[in-house]
Amino acid sequence: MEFVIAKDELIRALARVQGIVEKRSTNPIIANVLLEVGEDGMKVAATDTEVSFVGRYACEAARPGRLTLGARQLYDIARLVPTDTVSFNLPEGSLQMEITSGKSFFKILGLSADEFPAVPEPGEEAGVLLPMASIRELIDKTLFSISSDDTRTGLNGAYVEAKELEDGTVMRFVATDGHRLSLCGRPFTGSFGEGRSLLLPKKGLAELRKLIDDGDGDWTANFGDTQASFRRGSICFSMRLLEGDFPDYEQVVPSSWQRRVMVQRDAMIAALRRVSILASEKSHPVRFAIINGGVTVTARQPETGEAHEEVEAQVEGTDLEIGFNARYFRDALAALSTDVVMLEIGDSLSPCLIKPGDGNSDELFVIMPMRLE
Amino acid sequence: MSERWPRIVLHADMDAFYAAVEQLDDPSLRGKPLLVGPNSGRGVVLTASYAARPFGVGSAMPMSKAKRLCPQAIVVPPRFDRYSEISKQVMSVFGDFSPDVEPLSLDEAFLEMSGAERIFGGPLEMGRKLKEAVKEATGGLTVSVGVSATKYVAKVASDFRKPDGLTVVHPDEVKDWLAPLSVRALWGVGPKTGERLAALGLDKIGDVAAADFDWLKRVLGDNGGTHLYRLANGQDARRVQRSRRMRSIGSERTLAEDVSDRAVIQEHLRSSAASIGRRLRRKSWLARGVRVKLKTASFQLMTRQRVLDPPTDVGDQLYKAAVPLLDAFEYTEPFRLVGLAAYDLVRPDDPLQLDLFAGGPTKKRKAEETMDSIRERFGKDAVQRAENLGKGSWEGPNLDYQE
Repeated sequence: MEFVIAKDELIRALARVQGIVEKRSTNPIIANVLLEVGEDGMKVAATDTEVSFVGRYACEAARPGRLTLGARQLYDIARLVPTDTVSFNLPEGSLQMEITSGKSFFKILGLSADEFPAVPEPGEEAGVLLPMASIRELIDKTLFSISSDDTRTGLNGAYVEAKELEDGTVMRFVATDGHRLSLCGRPFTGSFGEGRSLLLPKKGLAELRKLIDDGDGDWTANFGDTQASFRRGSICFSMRLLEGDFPDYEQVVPSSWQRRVMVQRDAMIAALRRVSILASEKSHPVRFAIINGGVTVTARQPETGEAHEEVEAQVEGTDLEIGFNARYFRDALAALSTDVVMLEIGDSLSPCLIKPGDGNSDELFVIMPMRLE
Repeated sequence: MSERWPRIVLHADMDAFYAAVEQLDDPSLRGKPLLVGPNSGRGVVLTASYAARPFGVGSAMPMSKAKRLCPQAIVVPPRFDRYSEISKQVMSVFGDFSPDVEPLSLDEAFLEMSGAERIFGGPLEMGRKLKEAVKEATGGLTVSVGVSATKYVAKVASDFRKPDGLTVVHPDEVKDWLAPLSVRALWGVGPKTGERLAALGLDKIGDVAAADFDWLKRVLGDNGGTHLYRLANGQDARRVQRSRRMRSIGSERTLAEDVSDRAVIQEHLRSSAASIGRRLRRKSWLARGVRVKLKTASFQLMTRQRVLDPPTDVGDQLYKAAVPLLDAFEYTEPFRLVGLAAYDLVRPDDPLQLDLFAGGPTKKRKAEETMDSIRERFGKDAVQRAENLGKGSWEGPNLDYQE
């Protein structure tokens, strides 16, 4: 294999895969990136066997070939070489890649490409068309609620289903860690499959999220029995579907309320940030005193002190004191985009519903309160 | 007298603490109306001296309003470092009276005084001595003290004759003593609930105590009704909590023979988990984490741990969380020691994140509580889990520990 590639193009290709390769595995090849050069340019692939990435990049190919190389090391080289183009040469039958840039020379030992796990390639098949804004919002509004507790496998991913609403069908992502829940539906075209649902893993969604802002354009998604793949242009990102049962989420979305609070989102976020300085770092407990005209947020720790702040709000219903993890509340508020948000609360032990103030889009957040003394 | 006290709980609350510290440091302020707080239009009063209070000034009132009500008041900006310094002196005095001091803020704390009569005398004497000691250590600050058999009544009592008060409520007199007080003195009753109770014809604590329990639950909800009824009748089982974190309860055994069989290790874990659960419940702790410890034949110590969510005091939950941790060890040689520990202990009334999806270990806990009480009456071997029947006892000595 022999080729010359622009430094920027090489950095772009390798930056994508740094979050995907797995350095702590007993199988060393998945810490590597696969380089495969043909007439149509260079294919770059990386996988941790759960999520994988394939992208095509431009290069001047002199002689085709393939090899895997340590992804981190190669990235560091790409970033630091002194020239705008970099030459690669792999002598026939060798596993040592020679890299030349100006007066710099590297020779690094790779692992045979034959050992590299198969990864799904970008295809041309039809799938679900997801506008860039849709996929971005679906992930941004749910990713933070996905559980990281690996003993609750059903909660380690976003639950995906198609939902028919009054003004059309949306693709809906739902995520929960058992304490809070995020739900977001966004328009798509194509067929997802009636009554179908699946779980997309957290790492896969986090990596996909990074790719979204890295280019422009809509995504085509294909949902297979064990894999989901997302394509845009010459890149394809795929992830293995999670197995596990997602709980009946609709049952925990409150359908009635006893107090409804309309509040400025920014003001509430700012107050929570200030007050939670004095909240315990472990679970950030704060107390909301909801009275006519406002919400007073209080944090108190016997050893350090206390803080409180009143936030103006329109309140319907009777007064209430209720405790929350300030972090959960801020996450939900930050994920909303309207200036005004609506909180619907039952009593101090029931879930709180948080929605956009205009009530327009298919999105909501549910937070279970904390029991405070 | 004092043998009729099931517990002795003391609540100590410094009088107008911030203002008193300012007056201590600057004698020219003594006896004068004094407001501690930021001297700006938007600030609130943190503490008002007793000379300012007859004007209707109180803490949390906007400074602008307080100055209108009491124009002659002197406003002093707060010096938290100084308050904290004095607070340490005060807490240190409390520590001389009891090993179990639960501070609620810089200027108030509960002290568990059960069993301390022989050192300090009866409840009244304890209160007197504490007040003297605080005054002496701080150079003149006064503290109001309430003593009773529960945290709740002790706290109400310390507020009863402020400032410089001392109120002892004998457990036999609690109901009568509480009865004429306003329902607002019930823990958890704010202005709103107060109005609600008044509308139900409940003005005094005695009205709540005498109300029909089922009716109370119906009108106030199960939790609210039970809570207020108990308090009104002087029942409050909350303990004085010394420290809230950094503790663990564990159990480990050095085995007579090294083992490599996972099933055997699991058996040891189950038995340790049951014993740890029992001790957690007895001391009212919940564990937020569980840790498995294995020592190899060549004395290499390995531990694996995980967070428990929700926190638990149920042996079965500890065991179920511990077993998957065994997957994370390497089994290259046999083990000579198996240990289990519950760590990151919290109290049942610490802030607790509630779960969205209902269901939990309630049933298992009931079963284990029943086993606890059987063992208490008939001895350790009186009851066993079916899985453990016919299995011999431990090979090595049991090293139960607390740290």
